[in-house]
Amino acid sequence: SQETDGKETTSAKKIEINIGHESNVQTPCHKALLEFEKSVEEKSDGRIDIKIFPASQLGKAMDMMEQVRRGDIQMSLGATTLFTQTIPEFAVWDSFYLFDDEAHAHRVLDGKAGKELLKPLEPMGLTGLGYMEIGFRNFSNSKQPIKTAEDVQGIKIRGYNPIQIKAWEAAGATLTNLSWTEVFTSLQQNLIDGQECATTSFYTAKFYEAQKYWSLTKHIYTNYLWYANTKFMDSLSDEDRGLIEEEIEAAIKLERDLMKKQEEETLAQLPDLGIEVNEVPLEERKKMAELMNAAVKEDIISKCGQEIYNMVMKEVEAERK
Amino acid sequence: MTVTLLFGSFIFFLILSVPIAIAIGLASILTIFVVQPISIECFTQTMIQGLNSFPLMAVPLFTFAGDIMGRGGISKRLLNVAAVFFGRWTGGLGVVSIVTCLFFAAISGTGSATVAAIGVIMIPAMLAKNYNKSFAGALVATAGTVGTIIPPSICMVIYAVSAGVSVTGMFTAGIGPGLLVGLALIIYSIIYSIKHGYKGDDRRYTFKEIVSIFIDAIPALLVPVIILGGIYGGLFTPTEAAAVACVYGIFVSVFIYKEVKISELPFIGFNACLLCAAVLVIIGISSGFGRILTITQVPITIANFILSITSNKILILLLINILLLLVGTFMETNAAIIILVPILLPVVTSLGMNPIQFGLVMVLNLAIGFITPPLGANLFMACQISDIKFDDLAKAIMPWIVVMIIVLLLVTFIPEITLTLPRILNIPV
Amino acid sequence: MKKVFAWVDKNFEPVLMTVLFYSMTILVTLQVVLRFVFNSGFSWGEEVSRFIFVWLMYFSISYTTRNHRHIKVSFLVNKFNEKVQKIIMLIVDFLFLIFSSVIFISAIKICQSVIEYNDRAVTIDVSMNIIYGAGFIGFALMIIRLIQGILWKFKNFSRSLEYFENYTGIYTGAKEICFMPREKEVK
Ligand code: NA
Ligand code: NA
Repeated sequence: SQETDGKETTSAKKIEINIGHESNVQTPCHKALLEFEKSVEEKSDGRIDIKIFPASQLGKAMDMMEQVRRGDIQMSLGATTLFTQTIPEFAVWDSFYLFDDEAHAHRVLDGKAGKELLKPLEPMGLTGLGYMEIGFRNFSNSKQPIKTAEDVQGIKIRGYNPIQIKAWEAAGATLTNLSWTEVFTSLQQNLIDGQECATTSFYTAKFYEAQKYWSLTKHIYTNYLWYANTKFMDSLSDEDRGLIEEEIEAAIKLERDLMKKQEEETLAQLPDLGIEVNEVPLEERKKMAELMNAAVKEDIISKCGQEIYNMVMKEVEAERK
Repeated sequence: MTVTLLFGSFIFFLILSVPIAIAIGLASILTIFVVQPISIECFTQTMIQGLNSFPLMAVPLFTFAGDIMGRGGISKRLLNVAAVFFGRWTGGLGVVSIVTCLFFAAISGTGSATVAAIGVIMIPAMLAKNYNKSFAGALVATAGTVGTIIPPSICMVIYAVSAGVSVTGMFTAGIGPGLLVGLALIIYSIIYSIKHGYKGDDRRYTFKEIVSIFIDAIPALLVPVIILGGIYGGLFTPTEAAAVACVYGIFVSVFIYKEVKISELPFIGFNACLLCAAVLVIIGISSGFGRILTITQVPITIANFILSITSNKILILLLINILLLLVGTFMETNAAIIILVPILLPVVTSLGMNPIQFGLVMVLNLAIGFITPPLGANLFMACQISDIKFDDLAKAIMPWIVVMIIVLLLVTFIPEITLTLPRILNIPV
Repeated sequence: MKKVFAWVDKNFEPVLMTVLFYSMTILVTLQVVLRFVFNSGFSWGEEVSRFIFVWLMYFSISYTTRNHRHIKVSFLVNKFNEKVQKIIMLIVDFLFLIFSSVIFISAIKICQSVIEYNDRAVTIDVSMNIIYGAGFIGFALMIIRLIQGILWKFKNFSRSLEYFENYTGIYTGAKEICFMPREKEVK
């Protein structure tokens, strides 16, 4: 009958998008993705079906990249710093103190530098879609507030990436390699004295229960790259692709807004949770930047190449206000 | 469709006596070929990555540590100490066996290792005092289950990895229920002993004897202090504790008690790995299976289905307990954990149950599975080390199973039993 | 030559397993000691010990396959007569072989794509095939072990069920490993 025919044609045209990411369900990233799901499904009259798999349900960032490459899932998100082993160009974002504030970071990532840095994805069959954010990373510990560059000395923290380890060792910290899931217990048990992460992560991972000081060192900005399988993107009709790209832009904007709001709320809440929050003077941050960048600059350049390094630095300066 | 194919073919292969790991694998690749929820490479990748886990490393390490300390004469020293305290109680030998099992459980990671280490000495000792043979066997088989309930515990490591909770949290939460099991077993054993007139030991110890028994046992008594103290005190992670326990176990068994020769070490290491491989292959392949479940959203569907039948917490928990008891009766414990955690955890968390408390409920259920015929690892072990007939033991074990089920219900419905200690020690749960 | 093959058949995995097990134990313990005594450690210690563990387990799984020690539910099949049981065991071995072959082939594809895209480990600069290679080699070994087992079963089809099944590899030298302690009973 006609009714079943109708069903068949709609189900034949149905497009499925599975998105995997590592953040948990309380994060702005996941909330923005849920909005993305809702509006794409609505605007496509249910033709496009989106499923989101948060909290590493589909594996670690690198595993998900392999899955998107193969087309097991269509999209994923991950901080570029986690991909530098496979895509060395991304190492340029591991430089310390690149951006003055979030707006500065957004201008660079949405501008020429950010777009150029999506190109290394292409040979892998991946298409970069844009950057959400995890935000500026700050420093927490249970020993003393970090007010000057010297205060970091002797503090045991978590290491997770060779460049990050080298930079903090240059600043005088001691590093232990730990996976993200082990950080909480390790802090609680004083296996490490501190760690560095974004403000919202500090809150959602409940690190405040095991720490005393949250010093706003803002030493590095962590992006959250959104990428897709190229074959999948190319298989979309112009109309669908247009819709999806439009909604991606909206979702990224929403995520950044939510992040800003959540960060402000978190910072306001932390003192009530017994955490001493302190700003770090700009000159001290610059001192740390010089110290840490000096230790890793050569490594970063040897990974990403002089050309990309110069281009990004030029863009960063051009977008500084 | 996916669910029917996945579970239907899995059960078919199980009945055909395909190894559990391979049954899971075959069901998965069959589903992949028919429904194509993911690619076969994705399955293989997930499967290989499934073993790439630091917490899982604790499994062979704790197996080795328990094995070498059993061979190294540590169980004997622990028994001597327990006899000083409890030997003269009514049913003294039974109580001594249970208490020693509790202690040895803090060294060993599995139930059957505990049964082997303690049973070899205590079953003959009880028979010499005219204890009923199948009572003695049932007592040791049941007391051995605390090997998995009191940390360190391989089941708990596997649960923690499957459920994404902290191993330390599980280890801390296990102590309460473990001691409760011990207490319940002691009470039942004393009641039975009074009924059957099993007198305590008349032996009195001189002060000098007591001191020398203690000094001899210090290296053995230090093991739980090092392992558990180290973990709770924040000196090392559970996996590191397992490695330290191995090195310490070698040191004590080879150099202090001198009951293990250096030339035996290669074999003991090899043997521990061989014993674990049969379980770890299941873990690896189940990771791939789990990926199919996740991407087809099976766990959420099942959870919603269960919750649509009833949202009565007590009823659901009872049903889950019955399911787990059944599964534990017929299936290998660790395999059961790996397969059921992704399906059941969303149900109980939506009821507001703490994942770690549920972990203990699961571990307890499956520990009971160790002593339920027809498939009970502890029963087999008890038969192997004494000459009790399996059928006799299967009958004698029944009242012990009842005692265990009472404890299980207490742990299910009173969260404080599991969660109080972690809270006191400020360990996140 | 035949002697060499027989030795390798019995000792290949056990020797590697022992070496890897003790390397892993020592590495993890060393990390603890370094942290206590020198307040430091290797940032690569955790990752390297995981890699050792994965290889250790694949060799162990291969030897488990050789010795027919996989966990299975057999009390239902045990109800059949011996001949039917033997046929079922052969079918099971073939199913196992099919599974291993499928995984082996896809492991090759994974290893190739790791080379193609140059995926590398996090703390040490090696190819990710240091992990996936374990699956590739592990399943290759398992295929060899399964074929050995199937040949054994065809050759001994008329022998007793116990001999045919060869549970724990008792009839193919499970107790003849080169470092096996002689005098003690082995569990
Ligand atoms: Na234990
Ligand atoms: Na059972």
